[in-house]
Amino acid sequence: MRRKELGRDLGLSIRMLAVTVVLAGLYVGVALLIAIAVLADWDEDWRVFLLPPAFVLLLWVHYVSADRLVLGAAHANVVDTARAPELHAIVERLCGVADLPKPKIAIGRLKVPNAFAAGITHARSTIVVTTGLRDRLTKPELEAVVAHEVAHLANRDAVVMTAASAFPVAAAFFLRRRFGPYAFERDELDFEERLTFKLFSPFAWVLYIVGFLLTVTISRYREYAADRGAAMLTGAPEQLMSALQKLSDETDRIPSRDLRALTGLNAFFIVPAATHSARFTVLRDHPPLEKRLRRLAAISRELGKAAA
Amino acid sequence: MGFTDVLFGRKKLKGPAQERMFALSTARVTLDAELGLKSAGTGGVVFKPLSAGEFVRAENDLQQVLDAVAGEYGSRLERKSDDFGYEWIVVHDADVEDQVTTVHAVAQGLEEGGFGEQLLAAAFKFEPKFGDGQVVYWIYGFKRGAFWPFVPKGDKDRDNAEELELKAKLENELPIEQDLSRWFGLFNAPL
Repeated sequence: MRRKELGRDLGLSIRMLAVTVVLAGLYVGVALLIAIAVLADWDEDWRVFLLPPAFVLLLWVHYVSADRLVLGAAHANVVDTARAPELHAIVERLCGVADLPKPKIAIGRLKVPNAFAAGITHARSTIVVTTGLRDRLTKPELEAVVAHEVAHLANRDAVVMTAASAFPVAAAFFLRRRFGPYAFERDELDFEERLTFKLFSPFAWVLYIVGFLLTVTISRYREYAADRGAAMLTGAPEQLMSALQKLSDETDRIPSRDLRALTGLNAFFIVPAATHSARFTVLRDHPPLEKRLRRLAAISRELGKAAA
Repeated sequence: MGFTDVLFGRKKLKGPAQERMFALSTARVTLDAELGLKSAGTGGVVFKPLSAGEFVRAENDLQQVLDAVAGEYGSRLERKSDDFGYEWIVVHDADVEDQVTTVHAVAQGLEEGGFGEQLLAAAFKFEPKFGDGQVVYWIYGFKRGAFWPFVPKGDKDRDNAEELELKAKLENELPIEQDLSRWFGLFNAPL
């Protein structure tokens, strides 16, 4: 007997695909603009050729240092089996079910109850759990939260999010360099060229904003996907629901001053640490709790049912 | 892993690879002759159950599977659960070959019953023929279709040297998982 695929949601799949296509389109567009800019400038200034390698270098630095940066920001240390045997056992088994190599495990000395997964490749990946999380959740709830992070690793969300969020930065960087204030300082521009630049400068900002909105949208979709993954791995969506409920309560109760220091990590956290007003849902990188709970409830109704 | 998995997130877990488990039946000779290990009489399948509540039907399916296997193979089957919320189907049989056949049948039954994706591993317990050395488990990862050794030392340590020696000695006879980061242990296995 075949069991149902979990969390089938055609609408969500279509929206994810649409957002990805738009983002990919923007990438190609910006790459073309950069290529045109580089080709147009090269006889004036050979240094433009340094830009593409510089960007690659930047990405590489990000690749080798991102996980350490993230660990540092969460005051997290990698722990071995002897120091956290239970956590190791939970992760090992979930990775066994998910068919993933075992990631490193780190414990963050933070009272904020939260967890996140970092690392671009499976070999460098780390799952971080804060002490606050370990203290507040029951064992099945902790397992559910860890399963959510394992699902992030399985879905390669660090890569997807890095690729997605590199876009706004790259777009702004290149377009402002080419068409921004710096370009206006050149004396030899004629009227027509100045006009083109005037038109392109706000365009760079529009691209940046669109890129940012796409990034947080993708991030929200990835959260739903990771919730579904956690439900598949543990077979117990109700444990994740109860954990999410607890975590969001706890996060809200903690003064926001301490939390603001954490906002940079948000995209990786299981619940966002900083509180936003509900009006700005479109700007948030995590979906609202009620929506996540509703989807998990739908999954729990599907669990164990045979495929039609 | 496919491109769509990355794009949309995985919707299904990988299914089990069952057949290579039988290699243990032939490897038992080497285990016995060269390493002085004999079966401790138990083997088992560990899987992640769907949680209680709305899953009564899945539960009935499972019981049917177990009754069918027990009837056909004549081994004693036992259901246990561990501290981590995993279910075990323990097979009691003195002979390794029968153990492997029955464990395989249980796993096959679970897969046909729709639990295939939840299968974590099969484990076979071995102990030294003479004296009181360490207990050795051979763990078969269903997702990988490969074995790896697990030699627990107390509640949370494992004897890596012994495990690597077992790998070296049996590499030619058993499909052994080459990626050491996938050699997860099963501490306090109810075998």
